[in-house]
Order: sequence, then C-alpha cells, then structure tokens
Amino acid sequence: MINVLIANDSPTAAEFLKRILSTDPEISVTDVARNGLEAANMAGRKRPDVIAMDIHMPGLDGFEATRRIMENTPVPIVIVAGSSSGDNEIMVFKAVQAGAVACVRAPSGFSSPEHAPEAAELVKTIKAMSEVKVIRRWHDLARRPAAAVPAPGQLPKLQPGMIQLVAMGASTGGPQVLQSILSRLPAGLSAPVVVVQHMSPGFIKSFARWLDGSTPLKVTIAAHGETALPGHVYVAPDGRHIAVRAGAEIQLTDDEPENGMRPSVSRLFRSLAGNLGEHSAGILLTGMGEDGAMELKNMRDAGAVTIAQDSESSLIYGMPGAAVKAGAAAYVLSPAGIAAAISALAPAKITGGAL
Amino acid sequence: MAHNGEEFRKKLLITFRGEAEDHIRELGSGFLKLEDPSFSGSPAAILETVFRAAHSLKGAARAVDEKETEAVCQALESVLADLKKDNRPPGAALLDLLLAAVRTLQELAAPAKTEGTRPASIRAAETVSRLEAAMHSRPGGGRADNAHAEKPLTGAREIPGDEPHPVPTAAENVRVPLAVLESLLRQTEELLACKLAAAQRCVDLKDLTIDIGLRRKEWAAARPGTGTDIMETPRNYLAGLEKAENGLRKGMEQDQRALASQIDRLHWEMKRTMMLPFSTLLEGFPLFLREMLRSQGKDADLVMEGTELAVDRRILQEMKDPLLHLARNAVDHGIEKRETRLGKNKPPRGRIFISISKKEGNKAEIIIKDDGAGIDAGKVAAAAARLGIPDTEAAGKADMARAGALIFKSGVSTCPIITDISGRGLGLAIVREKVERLGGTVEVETAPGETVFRIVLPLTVSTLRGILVESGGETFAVPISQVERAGRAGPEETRTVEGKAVVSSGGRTIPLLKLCETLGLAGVPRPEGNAGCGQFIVAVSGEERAAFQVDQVLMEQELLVKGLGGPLANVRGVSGAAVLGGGKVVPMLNMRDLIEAGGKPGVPAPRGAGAPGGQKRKKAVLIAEDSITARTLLKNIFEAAGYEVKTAVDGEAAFELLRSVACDIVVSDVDMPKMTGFELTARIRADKNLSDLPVVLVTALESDRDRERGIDAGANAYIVKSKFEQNDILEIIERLI
Repeated sequence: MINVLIANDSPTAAEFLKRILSTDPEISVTDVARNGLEAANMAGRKRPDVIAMDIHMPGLDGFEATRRIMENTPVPIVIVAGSSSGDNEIMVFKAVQAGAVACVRAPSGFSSPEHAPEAAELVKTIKAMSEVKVIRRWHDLARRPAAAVPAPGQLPKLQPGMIQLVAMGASTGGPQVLQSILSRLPAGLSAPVVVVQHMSPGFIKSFARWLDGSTPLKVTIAAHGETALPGHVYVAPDGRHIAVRAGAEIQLTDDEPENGMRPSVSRLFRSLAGNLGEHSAGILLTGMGEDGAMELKNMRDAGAVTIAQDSESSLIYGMPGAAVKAGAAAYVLSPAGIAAAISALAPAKITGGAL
Repeated sequence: MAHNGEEFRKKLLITFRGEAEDHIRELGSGFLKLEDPSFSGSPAAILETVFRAAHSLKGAARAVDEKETEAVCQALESVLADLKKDNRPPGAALLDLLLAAVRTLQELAAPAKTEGTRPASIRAAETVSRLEAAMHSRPGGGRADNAHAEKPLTGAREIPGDEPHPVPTAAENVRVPLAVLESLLRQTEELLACKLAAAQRCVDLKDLTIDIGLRRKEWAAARPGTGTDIMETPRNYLAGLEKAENGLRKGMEQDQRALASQIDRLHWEMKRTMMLPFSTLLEGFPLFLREMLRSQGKDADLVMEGTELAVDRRILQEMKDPLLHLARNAVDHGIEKRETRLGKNKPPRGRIFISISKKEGNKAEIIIKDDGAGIDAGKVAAAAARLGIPDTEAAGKADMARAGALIFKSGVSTCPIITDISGRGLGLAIVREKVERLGGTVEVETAPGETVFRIVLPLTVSTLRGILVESGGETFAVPISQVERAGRAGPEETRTVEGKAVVSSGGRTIPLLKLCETLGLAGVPRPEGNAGCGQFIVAVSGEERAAFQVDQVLMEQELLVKGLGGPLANVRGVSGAAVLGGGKVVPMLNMRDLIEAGGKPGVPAPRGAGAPGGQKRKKAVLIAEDSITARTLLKNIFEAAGYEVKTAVDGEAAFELLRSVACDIVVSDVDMPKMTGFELTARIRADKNLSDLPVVLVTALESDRDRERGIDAGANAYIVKSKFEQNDILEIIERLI
C-alpha cells in the first residue's frame, strides 16, 4: 500500500486529488496538510511514501516545505502544479532544485476531456515515485558541492576536438542532475548538447527556461530542422522523438513511442550511433526503466564516448544500471565527473586576442 | 460507480462554493486595502495574500470544471505575479480592473439561475482579455496609472448596464471551535441525569398508585368488628401517604430546578455559538459602497469601528438589510458630489462612519453616521403632508425631532423620483420594523452637514416574553416590547375627543379602542354594573400609542413563538402563534398594525396595498408599450387590481389618447418608436392640461444616466424591467394616483 500525503491549501483541490488517487487500489491517502508547515510536520511524524504537494501555500510555500522536508526526513515529493502561467512555473523547478523528484499537472475536472489522461498521469507518477527508496543518501550527495570533483588522475584520457555533439538522456531525478552538470560547463563549450528528459506533459518549456537560468550555456526547446550549435543545449519537446543527422541537423518525429516513451533516449542514441559515430558522446543519467541502455551500447560499438551516471548519485539507477550491465558505458562517473569529462571532450575555444 | 461519482461531484461543488467565497472575499478586501490612501501597511504582504488567493481559487475551480473562474484567476495570477516581482502596487486604473475582476468572480460563483450563456460568462471573457491587455501594456501603463492616482474616477464606465451588485449573502455554514462543541455535548449529556430522575419519579408515582389501590381494596374488605381498627388504618395510612407525596413533590421540584438551570445554561451556550463578530455583517459593504459612490460620481471614506464585537448570528442576519439600506441612504441622500461639497467648504471626500459598541444590559449600539447633506426637515414634513399623515403633536411645525419620527413612517420619502433603490419610502419603515422586532430601538439625529442613525439592539435574541390577555372570549399573546403598561380606568378617566374615545395614560391622551373590535371579533357585552372601560393595555410602536380595552389581563410569561407561515404569513395584526404551557396555542398579536388600523383615517394600510376598492370611480391607467407581450402583461395586472386600462402602442398614440380621454396615471416604456418614453413625459409636462399627470417609466435601461434623464423629463417613478415585480408596481401606482 502506497501511503500518500496531500499538501494543498484548497479544500476543493485536496478532496479532488484524494478522490482521484483513491481510485487506485494500491494508493491510500493518509493525510491532508493545509500548508507547508503542516506538510513538513506530517512528513516527519507520519512518514508517508510520497507527498503530492502544491507550490503556493500560506506560510511555508511548496519550495520552502520541500527544502525542509528533504533536510529533515526526506520523502519523495511530487509537485502537483496548477495550469501553466509562464514565469510562475519556474517555481516548480525551484522546488525540484530543493529536492522534489517529479512534477505533474493537476488534472482538470471530471467533465473535461483531458481529465482521464491527466488523472492517469498523476496516478502513474505518484506510484512511480513511491519506488524511490534511497532518497536520503541521494539528496545528501546531490547537495554536496564541488567536493565531488574527481581528481585529475581519475578522469578518462579523452582526446579533445573529436566530439561534435554530446547527447544526454535522463528520467526520474534527471532535472536536478542535469542542472548540476550543465551549470559546471563553460559558456564556450565547443560542441552542442542535446537532451532527452522524460517529463509529465506541459512542463518542458518551463524546465528549459529554468535550466537556461542555471547555466552559461543557452538552453532552448529543440526545433525541427535546426542546426545544433556549440555552446547551446537543445531539449526535446513534449511528445516528439528527437534525432540528429549528419551536419548536426535536428529532426523531430511523431513515430511510435519507444520503451513507452516519446521522446525516447533510444531514438536519439540510435541516430547518433548511425550518423555521428565516434564524433559523438552519449551520457545516460538516472531514471527508471531501461530507455537508451541498448542504444548506448550501439554508440560505444560505433566508437562514441559513452558514460553512465554512477549508482551512488542516481536517484534511480534503472537506466544507467542497465547500460552498465550491458557493457554500454565506457565510463561510470558522478555528475561532477561527467561535467569535467564533457568540458575535456569539447573544451572552450580560446577566442580573440588572449595569448 | 457512476452514481457514486455524482454524489461526490455535488459534495465537491458545495465545498467549492464555500471556499470560493473565502478567496473572493480575500481578493476584494486585499484590493480595497491597496486602494485605500490611508493604508500604511506593506503592499508586498497584501500582494502575496491576493496572489495566493487567486492561485488557490484557480486550483479549486479547475477541480470542479469551473473553466471561466479558472481563466479569470489565471489572468489575475499573472498580473499579480508581475506586480509581486517588481514589488509595485497597482495604479488606480489597474485597481479598478482588478476589482471588476472580483465582481466577475462573484457573479460566476453565484449558482446559475438559467440555462444558456450567462452574462457573467461574457463578462468573464472580457475581464480576462482586459487583464491580459493590462499585462502587455505594462511598461507604459505603469506611468499612466500613477498619473491617474490623484484623480478620482467619475461615473464613466465601459461595461454596459452596470450597477452596484447586491452584497453576497452570508454562507449557510458557520465555523465553530471544536472545544465549544465538546462543551455543548457534555452539557447535553448532563441532561441525561434529568431524564433518569424523571423516570424515577414516574416509577415512584406508579408505586404510590399501586399502593393506594391495595389500600382501597383493604378498606372495601374491612368490616367493623373484624379486628381491624377502621379509623386507625386511614389515619396511619394518610400520614404515610402524605409523607410519600411530600417526598415526591420535593423531588420533582428539585428536578424542575435542575432541569431549568441545565436547559438555561445549554441554551445560553448554544446562543453563544451562534454569535459572530459584527464584521461578518459588514463584509461586502466596502466593495459595494465603493461601487455606488463611483457610479454616482461621489467620493467617501468608509470608517468602521468596534466590529470585533460578537453578536447573535440571527440578529446579524436580520440587520443586514436594514444596515445596507441605511448605508445606501448615506450614499444616495447623504454624501454629496465633490463639487457640491467643495462649494459648501467641506472636504471633497465624504465620510461614512459605522460603529458598534457594547452598552450595559447586554445591549449593543450601532451608529451609522455620514457627513453629507443632512435630512431636510421641510422636505420630510412636505412628503408626510402629501401622504395625509396628520401631525398630531405640532401641526405645521417642521422641526428636526418631528422629521426624525416621520421619516420612519411607511411611504414618506424625500427622493424626487421613485426607483427600485430608493424613494419608495418603505426602506426606513422596514428598518424600524426589523429593529423593533428584535427588541431594539432606532432613532435619527440630523443637522445640515451630518446625519446620525442610532440603533440599540440586544446582543442575543432573548426568549420572548409576552402578556396574555383575553378579549371577546379569546386569548391572545402580546410581545412585552410592544406593551408600555397595563392599566385600569374608571369612567372618569375616559373621555371623548372629536367623537373618538380617549384615555389618559402616562401624562398623554391616547386613543382608546376595544381590542376585540379592532381585531374584527364580536365583543362580549359588558355587564352594565361595571362602569368604565375596565382593563386595558397601552400598546406602543415607535412614537405611536393606543390603549386597547380587554376583558382581562392574564399574566406575563415566557413564550414559545412559532411563525404561522404559508398563506397566513401576511395576516394583518397577527405575527405568529405562541404555544402556552398546557399546549394551548394562541395568536401572537402585532400591535403596530392594530394601532395603525384602529381609527386613523387617511393613512394607507401598511401591508399588501390592495386594489382601491370602495372608490366611486375606477381609476384609469394608460399603458404605452410597443411590445404586445409587455402590454398585455401590464394590462392584466392593472385590471386584476381593479383599474380601468387604456393602451397605446407608442408615445405618439399615447399622447393623442391623453388629449381626448381622461386618465389618472401613465405607465410607459422608454424604448418606443415614434416617441420615446422620455419625450412623452416631457410633452405631458409641457401640456398645461396634463402637466400634473403622474408618469411611471418602465424600462430595460438600467444605468444611472437613464435614471437622471427620467428625472429631468419629469417622470415620477422609474422602474427597471429586470427587477420588476408585480406588487412593486401596484404599490407605486397606488401611491401616485
């Protein structure tokens, strides 16, 4: 039985969410907290398996409450966000930065056509996040700053200049580690980065905007036909596959989902294995399932540099673990290590007059 | 599962409505604070509160598929997020927009009365686009906003057909602290002891009864000489019986005392849970008054004091309309337009002051004060004279005291035109009636430049005490608040003045009536030997007094009163039924009706203005209306009320008709071909034969501008179709003919 705590200051919204979650026999809503402080207290006292939290609450807001909960008695927190409102949604990712593991749209009312899929997404996310068991250790590690930079000797010997594109795939726990990695990269990175981040529909634009604010690189949502440029990060949009052709041309397609996902990491990695081969780098980060594991092996076989995130720092070791087991990863690194590796592979060019 | 879903949805909707009310209230009061020039707190804190209210309401609306509310809240959220980011309070124009959005939310939250697109939905879409536009034009808009901050907004509004909305009704639920409920439960449980004690008494009595039965058998069997002392047995037995009876009686008296004190305590605590702070009554006032002021081009500060005082909720419910009416009056008749005030050397912003304070004897005093025009005593006296109300105290003298009493009389109004908001002269009479029914008093003091209404009320609704009287062979109950004293008068104290019986009481001479006669009952003839009028009670209502002769004054006691309800709700002279101790039910009289009815000719009966029966000639009404449906409707209404009806399909035909046929009043639509209602009215006024003819305009046009046009044209009354009610129009016609 998955015990869920709902934190929401609107009695109507809380009742509604409770009703939806209770339709799944494996879920039991044990408590409702009316504000951030109550949520933090109940998290400590009742130890729920998952918390479904609203962002804006009186007193301690969602972000503050997340921070406090993760500091004292970490519990997987899913941010349940209302309808999108541009700048406002960055708040969701602030909470993610504080340790929330996922975000999902609050379902529309029963009469809406979107209700069924949105309710299903909510239930799926809650159930998925309840599987995250080792959350305390992950959170502590994630918060540790530069101490995690590996010693020079540990870094793989990588030849700079060969890599024309870096591809990264992530699922559960991805946003935080992506921010951690990208924020350490230099603005003048000499290769473009393409990212597939599994995410509940509707949040990807805010995610890109939030990432954009955290890194010197320019982060945008990928557009079909675009040429990927160095120093830029391209994030796959909601519901479309992303692939890269020769000449670093981005392709978005609506083909069938792979591994139940669209966009899928497998599609991206496969295109790189076929089109760029040894001139690409593939990095598989934390996430549930195995999306991209086999295709990372394809990339390695084609001569690409392949890296998997280490189990210690992965919120869920599913995807990277499968890759390691299949022998797909040449290197297994921490987020700091991954950042160092990318910087080494595509070093910033020295421009202009400095000599 | 589907059935289950329906139940859940209904419950969820109820939760939503309660929640929505809270959030909307927070938004309204937050925006008003931001607008208040005297507010000195931090705008950032308020912006945070209203932002969160908008956000929560948005989430709640989404859960119940209230898409329009969700959209408006979304737009509000964006605007507020922007303001929060810059930590910039909104300028005057933006605040207007924000408050308009609150009003839209209020409308959307009201349960839909009709199917199909509500006007609220259209306004919602409008509001959203205006809010979005405000967001986009922000950089330039910011500067423009500040420029407007000084200038008060005049009546020019963009949204058509706007007029102040009624104050939202109080929620049907109350929040009670758990501790209070627990205490009440404990007390109720203590009553169980009384229940057990009563059961025990029953058992004891039963034993006694059995015992008596046995003894009776014994005595029946006993014969002299059987060895039993016949006199001994009864004597002993009686002594024993007496003892048992004594014990039982003492026990029952004890029970009654315990029960009485328990119940009184429980009653008192329950009443306390029904107490709410006075501020809940005033909740919608600031927003509502602000709109009224704006639409009339006036400016005023609303100052409220003492609003934390807790008052019985039922009193608050009853007082909501009266206070609203007094506040409306303060705006309508009191506060003058800026220019007028400046001309009188007054500050341009008026001041409306509402306060409540505790008075000794478990009473509260409510004061509503405005520094406006004051009540014109001359106008009041004139209006009263027009109605034929005799000035019994100081004929012809127009002074403030008389004005004070007169304005509470039904029908008296100094408003030049009757509209559905004011001018019908019923408002203040109803205020007084409600206040008195609650056991309170209301008076007014006025001077040029200030008007003060003072209402004194009990803090809790007390159990009604009344006097039981007998008259004409029937028993009646009269509320103690309506009786000044009871007395007895011999023949020497009664006189006749102008053919009417009067009696002296408390230094005054007041009319003497027979209660049963006034009630329309046949009196029981007095035995001739008993000269004089015997017992009477002096009934009082406001300033009016009358003595009612009764057969007997029985007693004063606590009464359990129930309303009559249904078809008996409007019986003149009777306000309910009282249940007496033995279970008997007697009528509860309304002495005000009886005072007014008993022997004062010329004053219109207060309730249900009926047809002008008993007149020699039927009055003729001319209806000018181009819509056949409306015309037929009006024709039926007037004919049923006993008027003769003439009809015309437009203004021109109406005017032509008037020149040839004598009519007593014209009821006209405004929007007509060939000649509008305004033009018709102007023509009638200009014609020397017709210039005094009363004209009532009935129209769909709601704005204040149109109302003013009606006044300018010379109409006597202006009724808005959407607010149209059959009784209203008949009352107005009755008054004007």
